[in-house]
Amino acid sequence: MTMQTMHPAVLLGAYGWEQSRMPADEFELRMKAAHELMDANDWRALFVYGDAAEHQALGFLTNFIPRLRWAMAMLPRDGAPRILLSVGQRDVPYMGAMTWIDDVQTGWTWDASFDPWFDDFCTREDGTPKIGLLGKDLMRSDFLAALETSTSGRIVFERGDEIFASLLSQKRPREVALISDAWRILEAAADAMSASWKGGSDAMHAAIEGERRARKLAAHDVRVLFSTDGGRTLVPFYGITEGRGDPMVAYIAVKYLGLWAESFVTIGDGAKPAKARAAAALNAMIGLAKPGVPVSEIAGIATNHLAGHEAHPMIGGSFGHAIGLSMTEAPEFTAGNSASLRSGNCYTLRFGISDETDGCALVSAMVRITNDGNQLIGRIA
Amino acid sequence: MIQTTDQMETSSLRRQMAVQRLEEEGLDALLAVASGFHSFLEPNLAFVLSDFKPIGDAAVIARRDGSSTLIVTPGWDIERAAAGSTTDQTLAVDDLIDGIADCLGRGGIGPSSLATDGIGLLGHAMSARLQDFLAGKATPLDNLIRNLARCRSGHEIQRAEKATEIAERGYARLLEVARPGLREFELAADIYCHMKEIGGDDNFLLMSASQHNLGVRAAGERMLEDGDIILAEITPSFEGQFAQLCRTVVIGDKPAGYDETYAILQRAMQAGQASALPGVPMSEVAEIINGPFRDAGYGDYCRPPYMRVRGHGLGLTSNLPGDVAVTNDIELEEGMVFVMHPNQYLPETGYLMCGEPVVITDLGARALSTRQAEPDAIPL
Repeated sequence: MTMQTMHPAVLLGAYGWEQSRMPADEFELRMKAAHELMDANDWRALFVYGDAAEHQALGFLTNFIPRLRWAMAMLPRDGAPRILLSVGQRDVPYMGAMTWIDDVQTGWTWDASFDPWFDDFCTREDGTPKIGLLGKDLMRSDFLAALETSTSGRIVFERGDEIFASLLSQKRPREVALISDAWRILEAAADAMSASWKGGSDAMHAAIEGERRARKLAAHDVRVLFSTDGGRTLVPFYGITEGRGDPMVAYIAVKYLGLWAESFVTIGDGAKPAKARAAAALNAMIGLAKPGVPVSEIAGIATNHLAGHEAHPMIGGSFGHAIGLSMTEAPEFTAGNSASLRSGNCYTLRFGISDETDGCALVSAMVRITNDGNQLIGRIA
Repeated sequence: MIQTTDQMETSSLRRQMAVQRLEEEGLDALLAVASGFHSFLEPNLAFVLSDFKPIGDAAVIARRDGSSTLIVTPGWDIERAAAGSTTDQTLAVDDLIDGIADCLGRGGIGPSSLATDGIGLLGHAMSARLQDFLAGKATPLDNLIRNLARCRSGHEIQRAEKATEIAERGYARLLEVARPGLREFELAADIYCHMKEIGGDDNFLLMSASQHNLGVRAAGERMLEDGDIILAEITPSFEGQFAQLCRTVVIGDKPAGYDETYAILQRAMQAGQASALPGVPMSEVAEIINGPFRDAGYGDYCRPPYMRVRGHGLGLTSNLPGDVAVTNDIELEEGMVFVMHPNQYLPETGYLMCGEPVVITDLGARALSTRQAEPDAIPL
């Protein structure tokens, strides 16, 4: 099962367009690759939708990340792009500074912001042009209805998510660097959490110390789950949660300039047998991670290391996944998945055990697959 | 206000009210669905009917016989859900649509005897699968739960008061730590985590500063400076109930005319509170809030981009009564909770914020905060 955390009411953090890390020509290269896919599919434009919870393609192509609602970029093969943001007119100048697209409009006045642009597009094109559509699965019915009403009979939409999946999964050097930066913030958060817990704090307050450290280091988003029962269950923040547990187990995910890092963290001396078994399993999984290795093989070796013990409920039969602009990207490392590890992509490997005698342990590591093996991005001991 | 909560827990009462509607419609069950998006401006129907805030997509099935089931995702959240939900049964699954189909199938409830609410709030992938399963046979009762929950119970008002207390302590923290040289995001991180420590489990926190603000936005990289006016929209949630404070504070000496200009916002707030009586249309309240601005010669500024609305509803329960706007004709009722904020751009001072969470009583809109907004300053 994929990792899920409580989605916040608004994405905090200093979102902007950090051009020293993600320069304009990076997006020229990305758009060039997008144009090649568009040409191969005879798409005359690409519409890319994302929301605050999921915005992988939107972030990749535009650098824009919606903080609380949605955004849609209209990227014609020829002509000027426009991006619609679900914010009021007052907020457009500030929010628009996050993207390289010059033409930023509020999406709240659809008739004024979508229809004229679309009319111009149709005037320029011959016949009934095809448009690639990314993110349709995320659209709410009222948005989809507005889109279909405005475009009905004038163009043909073709779903583009699978076609773009390969492009999005190949981590570019600047993305890998940001994932590593996100990992460093995560490590600092884990250190702060550990120090707080070891200093006598309960699990909730230790978890908050971790989050505080990450946010003060300019993390764009921080998600934390924590345990007060020795790692048997992990919970989100909700009111006041009491208890320390030993070990304290937590899950931390940190986003920095759009890219995610994540890890399980175990603090304390409890559950040593389970932790030892989990560490050995993770070692074996990392050792196997090479380009071309089926993800089912990673899942297989993890299952072997369970050796009859119960998999932790947080893990179930899913022992990893790709990670980057989304916290959880395909493929999921399950026994039935036929996908293989790809050179250039970044992955989380994870293992968990829940045993009445040995205790509970959750461990993970992040790796980047190289041409002949893997490079460890990080692993918290 | 819901009056019977001493006898019955709020979410159970709301399920009972939904069942009454099922009887009127001759239907066997209500399927209310919610996404894991947790917007503070929208209701989470699963939360309203179970008193449990799910991590992911979720549903409640309320049956005509009075029984109920909460279905949450992800599957590993079962223990927390079972402990927190007020429904008779709690299930945790990794695929919500499969879970709904399985639960309804085992109960012998077919789509044609089913009412639905909330499908439009799901993303297309989920809503299309659910609509395929329902095969066009279910009866949509969209906004049923939003309407049933439009007035808060005593317990919900207590939660709103607690959320307000957390917001006030968050603002007190801001006054304590804000200083020149601190970056906006560092200040936001500090007060956000401070509020989390005292129970603020979520927070729609906008906080930004400028010598002349055009509006409020999420905290950025900008470094605070002497003379900055900090705007803060502090919106913590306590056990699922959001409350919002809007505050304005100057670092250092107040600019000339600041107190006098801010007093217009305070007069607008007072006028709005006094006028917000049960039975009064919200549009009338919004007009009355605009009054002091017109009286002071700023009538042309009572429109975007100089302001947006004069307040709005607060999730995760019901976002009714909706926006405090001249276009909203909903009649106020006792027990409605929302934020009233005559936030306003004025040319002399820039954008200023002044707002409180309020509950409608027969004396007007009672602020849930202990101290209403003042033109504050942080001495250097």
